[in-house]
Amino acid sequence: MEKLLSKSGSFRLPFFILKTKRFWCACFLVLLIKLGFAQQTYDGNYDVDDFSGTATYTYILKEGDTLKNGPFSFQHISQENLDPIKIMGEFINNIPVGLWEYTRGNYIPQEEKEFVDFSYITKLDGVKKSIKGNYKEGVPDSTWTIEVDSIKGSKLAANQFKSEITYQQGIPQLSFTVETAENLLAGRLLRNGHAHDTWTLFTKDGIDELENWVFDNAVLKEVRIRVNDSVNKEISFDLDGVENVELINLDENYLTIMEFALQDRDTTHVFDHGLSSLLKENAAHQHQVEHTMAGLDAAVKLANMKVQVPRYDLSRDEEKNLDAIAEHYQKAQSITNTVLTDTRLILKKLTDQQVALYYNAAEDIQHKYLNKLGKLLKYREDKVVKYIERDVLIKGLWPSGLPPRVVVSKDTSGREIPYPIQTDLTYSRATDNLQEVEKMASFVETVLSEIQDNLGLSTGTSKPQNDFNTTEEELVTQATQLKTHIDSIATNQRDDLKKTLLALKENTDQQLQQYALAAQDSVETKARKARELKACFTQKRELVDLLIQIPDQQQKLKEEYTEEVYVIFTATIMDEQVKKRIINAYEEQVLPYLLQQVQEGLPCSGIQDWMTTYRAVQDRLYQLRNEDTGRLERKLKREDDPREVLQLLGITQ
Amino acid sequence: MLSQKIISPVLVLLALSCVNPVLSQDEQGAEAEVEERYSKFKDVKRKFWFNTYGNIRISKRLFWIAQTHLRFEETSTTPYVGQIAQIYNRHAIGYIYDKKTNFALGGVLRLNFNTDPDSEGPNLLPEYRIWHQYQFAMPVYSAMAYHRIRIEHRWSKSFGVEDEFIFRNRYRYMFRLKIPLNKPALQPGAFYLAPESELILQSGKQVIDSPVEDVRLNTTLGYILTPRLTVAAGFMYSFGQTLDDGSVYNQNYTFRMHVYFSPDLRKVKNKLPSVHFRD
Repeated sequence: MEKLLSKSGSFRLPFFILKTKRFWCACFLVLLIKLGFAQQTYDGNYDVDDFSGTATYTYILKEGDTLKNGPFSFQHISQENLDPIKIMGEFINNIPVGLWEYTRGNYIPQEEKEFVDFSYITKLDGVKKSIKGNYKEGVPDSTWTIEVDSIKGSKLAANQFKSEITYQQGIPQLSFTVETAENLLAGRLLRNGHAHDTWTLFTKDGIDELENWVFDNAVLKEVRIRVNDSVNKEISFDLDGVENVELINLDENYLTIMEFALQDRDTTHVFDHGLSSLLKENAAHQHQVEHTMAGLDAAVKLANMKVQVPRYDLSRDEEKNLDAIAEHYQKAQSITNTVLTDTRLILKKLTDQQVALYYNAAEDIQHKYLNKLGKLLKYREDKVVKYIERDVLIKGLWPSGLPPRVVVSKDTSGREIPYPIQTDLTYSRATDNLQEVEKMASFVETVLSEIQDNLGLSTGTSKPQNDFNTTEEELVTQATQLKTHIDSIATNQRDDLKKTLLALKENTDQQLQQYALAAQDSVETKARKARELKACFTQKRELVDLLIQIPDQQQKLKEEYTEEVYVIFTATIMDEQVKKRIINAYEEQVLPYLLQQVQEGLPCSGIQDWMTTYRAVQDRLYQLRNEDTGRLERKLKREDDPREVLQLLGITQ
Repeated sequence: MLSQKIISPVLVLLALSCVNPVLSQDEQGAEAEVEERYSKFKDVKRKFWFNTYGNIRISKRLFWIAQTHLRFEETSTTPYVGQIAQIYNRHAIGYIYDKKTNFALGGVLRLNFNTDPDSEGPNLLPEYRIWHQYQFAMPVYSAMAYHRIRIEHRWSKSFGVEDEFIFRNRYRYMFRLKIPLNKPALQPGAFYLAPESELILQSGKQVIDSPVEDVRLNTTLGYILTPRLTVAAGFMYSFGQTLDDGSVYNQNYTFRMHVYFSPDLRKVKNKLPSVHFRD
């Protein structure tokens, strides 16, 4: 070492070393390692939770792996996109650290545009969700906030949901709150994340206590619910005498377990609403973050408040039963999927009695047997089954025993007929074990196999494809979508609109039936008819969308015809409806008349005209608001024929 | 401790003032004199009033108050509506200061009918008044509360043959609530309950020992048909000193029916904005 030091004491490399191979090899290796660890930046396309967007992050390559290291941001935003996602945070060696923020939106543009600074601006309505919190070495730390806000006219309108939970080294603790527009939940956790003490659901004003859940070191002991001012319901739980208990996370699975445990004693489904629904919603938001982070190769756990539940391990036989049920279910579900989505069958069942018998039988089996079996298997997948006693589980799924061994079908006219079951397989309806459920699943699979054979189908066989078949398939898909859409929206509509929407649905069925009946026509004629019907269904969809806007439009019109009047007697402002006769004529005569036209079955060619008339009426009513209408109102008073009323309004149909 | 030191002597002084023997003697003397005069309540008179109230909007801030009241009272054979007693015409110009405050100034012509069958006097006498009023409203939860101060300068004449017109001032304070019953606010379609009480004091040369002319306790049930039309009906108990003798009190039971109307005579373009007075 002394040799290497010069007189002045500085370090000097002896010249001979530079000449050695070993030295140059060492330099090369150092360079390689340096290059390998060098921070690089990625700025480009990236997928998160099945959403495509752009991401910017820095990373290092280590042993062939990409390790995110430094700030990370992801955006799924574009001008057309109304569901923007934004994620911002930081990694150290692929481990999330520091502040992370997850923002998601779901917006609908307003119909009217606003003119601001020489440009038209479309404002948005919708919901904004934002989740914020810190990670410390990959686990949540300090306070995590989840907020869901409603947006009206591109401005924050109201808070719908907010939760605040404090973590320390990944464990939620201290007190936490979850609030919605109506309620507030306040709860407490021990240092180890165990649910503890009384969790209370208040009304938002903080005066009334609606629900109290009393935990003792992760064990739910009692639930007290306020039924009304004078009646409280108390339900107590007991884990004494239970051999095995286990700590699990408090999320929707825990609430499912408790709901099953309680079904015999309570019919109000405590774990289905109220305090439960707040916990469920909170857990769902937390799971979304967990899912997002798993997609970024950085698994985290947010939903980990701990609760204790009894455990009833599955015996080997029960495991076998469940395996067999899953197998039968998968095969059966695959057959029903094939049958129920086959467009040729959907058309044929409208005219062919045999096809109708098999198709509708498959539909009955789907509702009667498969849905519940699917639920059972979902519980197994969620690892819930082992926490529920088997007899309780079966009773919960099938409260009045397994469904009877009868399959009900329908003929082409929709009349119910029994399906002749060929198999001898049977099962006992009254059961408390999985064995009989397995027998039932086997029976269902066999019946469906019969149906499949009788229809001459085999799963996975490709259907002959040509252009015409594709059109026909699209037609059936379109009709199914239209009907499903109507079903989903009709229930919440007021009576006259519900009636109109259901009439449209029925009319769609008739149109399909007529199309199916024209089997003898030439392929060209059928293809033409199919194209016409497709265009018709597209218009019908537009009509449905217009119909469901009617209540809102009526409300807007009423507001337009409402004036604020200062009343001196009361020293208050009251709303006064002006030009009542015009609005009454519209609501009592014109609108029912127009809706009746749809109910009676509009021809395809009439749909566009109908919508034009409706819109013209709307426009005219807005015009009349600011016109002198004294004479018109006098005439309207005497008129009770809607066609004449339309004429008086200046609308020609 | 300090407060105790202050409070204790005050309490002692108060107690002593109550047992002041000199004062007690004086009071005993006064009571002895008063003992001979007792207040007397006359028999209850039963009445029926049909009142129309108009508030006619004539400009952004001004309105014309037009009220006509038909007042009936009992006869020996017919209760409440036996005979017409007064026809009342009250007019004024009102000024809307803001949404909760308005003032008014105007005149009254009242026609008083002679309802005493034994009277020798004329059948009909006019009565004249100048009046001004100050009304303040305040919201109380979903209800509204009103304070009304009304001052009247009144020239009236009794039905005695010798009687002349006399001048008196009246000072009226009324407190009224309007509580919506079936709606969240006073709005069309709302029934409302209106309890009210009014104290009417009077002064004048002839007012010697009867300053309390009337105390009116009244409850009304109303229905708002439209912002421009309201109907109401109620029952009132009232009592007050007679002018001649302050120890004698009148008493009345009155059924009252009201129609409130408020047309707007302004042209459409002047109506807007109609509600922003002070904004």
